[in-house]
Amino acid sequence: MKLIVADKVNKYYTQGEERNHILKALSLVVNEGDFLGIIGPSGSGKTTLLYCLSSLETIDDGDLIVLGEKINQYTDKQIAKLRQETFGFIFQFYHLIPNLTAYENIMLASVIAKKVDEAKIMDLLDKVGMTEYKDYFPNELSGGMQQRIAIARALVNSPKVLFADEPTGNLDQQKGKEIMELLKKLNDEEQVTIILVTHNEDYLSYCKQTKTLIDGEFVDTK
Amino acid sequence: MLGVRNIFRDVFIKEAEARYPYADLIISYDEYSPARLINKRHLRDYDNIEHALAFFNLQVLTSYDGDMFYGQLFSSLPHEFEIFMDREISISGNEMIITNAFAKEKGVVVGDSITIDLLGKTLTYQVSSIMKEHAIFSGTSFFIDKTSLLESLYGLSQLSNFGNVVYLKTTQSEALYQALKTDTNYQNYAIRYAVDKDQIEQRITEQISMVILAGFIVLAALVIVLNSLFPIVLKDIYQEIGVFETLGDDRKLGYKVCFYQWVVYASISFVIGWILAQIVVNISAVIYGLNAFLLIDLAIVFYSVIILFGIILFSNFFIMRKYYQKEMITKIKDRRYVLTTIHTALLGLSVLGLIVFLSFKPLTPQYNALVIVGLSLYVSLNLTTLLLKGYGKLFSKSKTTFSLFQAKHMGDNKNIHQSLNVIFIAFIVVGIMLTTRFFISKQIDEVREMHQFNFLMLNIHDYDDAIIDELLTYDVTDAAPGMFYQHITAYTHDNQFLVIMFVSTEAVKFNQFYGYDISAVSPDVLSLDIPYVMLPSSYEKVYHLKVGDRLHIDLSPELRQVEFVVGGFIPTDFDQVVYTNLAEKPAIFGVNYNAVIMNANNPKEMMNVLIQNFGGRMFYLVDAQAAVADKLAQVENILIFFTVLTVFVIFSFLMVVFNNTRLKFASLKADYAKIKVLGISNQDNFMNLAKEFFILCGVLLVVGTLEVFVLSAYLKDMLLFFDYYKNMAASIPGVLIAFALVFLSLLISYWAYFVQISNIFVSEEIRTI
Repeated sequence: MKLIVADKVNKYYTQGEERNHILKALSLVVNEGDFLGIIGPSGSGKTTLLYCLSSLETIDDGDLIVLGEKINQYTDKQIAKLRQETFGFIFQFYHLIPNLTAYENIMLASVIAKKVDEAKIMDLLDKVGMTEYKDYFPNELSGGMQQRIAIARALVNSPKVLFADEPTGNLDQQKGKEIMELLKKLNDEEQVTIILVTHNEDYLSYCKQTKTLIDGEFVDTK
Repeated sequence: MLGVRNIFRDVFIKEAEARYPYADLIISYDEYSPARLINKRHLRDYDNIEHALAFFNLQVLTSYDGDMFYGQLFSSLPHEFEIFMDREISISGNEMIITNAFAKEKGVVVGDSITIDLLGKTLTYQVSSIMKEHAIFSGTSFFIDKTSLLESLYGLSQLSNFGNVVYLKTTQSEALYQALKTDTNYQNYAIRYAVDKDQIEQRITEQISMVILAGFIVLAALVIVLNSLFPIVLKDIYQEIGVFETLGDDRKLGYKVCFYQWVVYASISFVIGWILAQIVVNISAVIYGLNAFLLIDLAIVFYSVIILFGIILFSNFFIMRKYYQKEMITKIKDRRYVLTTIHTALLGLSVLGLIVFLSFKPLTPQYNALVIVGLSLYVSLNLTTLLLKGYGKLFSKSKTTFSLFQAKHMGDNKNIHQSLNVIFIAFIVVGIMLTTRFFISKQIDEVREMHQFNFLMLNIHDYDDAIIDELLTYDVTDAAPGMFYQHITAYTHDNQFLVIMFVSTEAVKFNQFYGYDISAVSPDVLSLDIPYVMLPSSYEKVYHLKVGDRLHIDLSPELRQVEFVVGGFIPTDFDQVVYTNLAEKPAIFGVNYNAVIMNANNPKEMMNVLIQNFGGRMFYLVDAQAAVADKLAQVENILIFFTVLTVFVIFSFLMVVFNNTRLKFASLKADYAKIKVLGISNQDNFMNLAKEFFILCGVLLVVGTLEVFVLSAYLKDMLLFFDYYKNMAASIPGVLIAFALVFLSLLISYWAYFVQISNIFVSEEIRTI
């Protein structure tokens, strides 16, 4: 089943008088259960692509279809609903709310979606191996631990797609590997569709499909 | 605000200088002067006198084109008038110079005839010139050559040295003043400075003590506002300072960075603030009616800078010291907002102290008030924090975005608490400013209603009962003889003060004419042989007087240090009138009636009759309503000045509220971006912000109203620091308007806050966190 379809998506950034063409008529299909890895050098447009696919940024041209619905002109309310029910996010810098505990950070995502299930939160904490740290604040946790909490938070509303923007970029190799294995496990066992953006080729081995983006264009697909 | 006293001093001095640019000293006669004419001839003995201008300055019945009115006669030798007007003039015996205001009001043109009635004679003059108003030659004033006037009145032309007022210009006013006071030729006359600094100081105290006090409240509020800014502005620097430490900073760099940053901010603010303050003061002065540039005293500017930098240094030092106590790595990693804390022990002590001071009032009233105001502000600010924490706790168990996000921030985010403190203090300041403004306004109305008589005839040097009989043959409905003195100095055992209106007549008449009730005189006092005084109630507090206390009053050069006993206090906010029973036994005290207070059926017509029949005797007729209006006009001008300042202060504080909400947004922007990524909609954000807004308003209304009432109950006692007292109480409309203004400002701020949150560019924010 096609979860996301991007059709000739263009994105420009304007800086002063200069207009930069960041995504150049990119087309892409993400199916349910995919684990898509997008790789490319810095400035190639991979994060922008991820943000466009996940509606964090708007596209300037082309079509973006999610679960069969064109979302280009979605209202704020529709986009919010999409983020609550269909999308999950993890970022390089985790972006946890610093004054909420690990548990509360996960809980926040579920209360926003208005489907609080505390048993599920505990289950997710267990899955990411963070049960004993549930009352810790982010600054009291290591980078790897924070990323685990961020993954649990992203999964608490059972999203259909998980967008991962350089989730290991801030971690050492060992911790990065642990996170990748966790994602792989989620993809294999829970059928969570994952779109991963990374610049580390080593992690592409966890993906089912990879695309290389250079200067706003796909140059290679495996 | 620090400079307000000096500004008003400047205003009053410039005002006096504008009235008398040609004089440093003025000699006139007072109620007890044995003669009505002053001879300037003896002044030739003084070599430090630049000029002495002998004028006749009288109110006379004037007629023009069938219209009769009161005109101000100025009469001197032509060259004296040239000095007086600072221009050349040309006038002959049967001519008159009038002001342009006179010409405009009555439609007079050059060549017209104007008639005056003086000393039973009717004299007609032709208008030879119309001159622009200058100094006191204003309104319906006119000038006539003295030689021709005296010849017409007395058939004498050798009285050029005489006048009823002499204006002196000197190089040594203080020395000349002292010399004239002991000169047998002049000591019996009233000698005063053209710019009377003592009187100006008293006027400042009377008219602007409340403004100054409100200014101190504003200053205290500014400290709280500034204090709330530091943690928000310094937040981003914290992480950087952690990084500095990793680079080997010896813990001085943080202090320096923050200090220099604030020095730059403060320097820019100082320049802008100074310019703005100059503009506001001069706009106020223009509205007040002063045509001069006012420069804020440089010493005051210097003190303002010292205070501003002092606050910066102090706050900067303590914030950084606290921050440096954290572990280096914590500084770099910790991105949590600063938690608000309550110093429970200090708060407990403050509450205890407040209860003790409210119950027992152990110090003098002004110090009690200072402690109560200080403690109540501290307790109120903490109460707002406690209430917010309570709300936070109340919501913490529910599983909503509001409870996890807004309620949590409201519970313990120091920025939110500081923001509420700023809103709270803005409410207090606006409430107090409006209360003060309404109080002054109410006072003006009370004074206007209080004077229930039409005329006061003064300077009756040869009073006998026939005057009353004569008055009653006219349209006078009621008349009472009495005594009336202006600017009397009274001495207590450790103070001296000026009484503006010292009145004595039958108590019943006084109550009737002034609208008071002075029947409650202590029987112990009534049995004494010495006269008693009934003082305005504020004197009890300001001069620590009580019934039975003695004070001494200089009634005239001959009647010095006359002993009086305090018989009671008049319940009034108008503290310029003192009643005495001196007039009951004039012979005993060696004084005579010198005034008649009266009412008439038709005051306007009666005025002309009185001028016609008594003006020639050089009695001075005061149109009470006009005099009150004149006096009140001064206070109203101060009120206007104060209103301009109030509007500016209110606007500034509303801007502070608005700005503070923007700062709050800046500090929470990243977290809002994060929850947007998690799927919160603008609608949900709106609902949550609305809840937050109403909770803040609720806290503000409850605690703020309580505090405004505490402040207005005790601020009046703090006026005693300025030797002044007004029984000021919180104004309900003032509090309501203040709340409405702050509510509106907060509403606009929150709307802007919501728009900003809705427009967060999530992806950009996520990239840059």
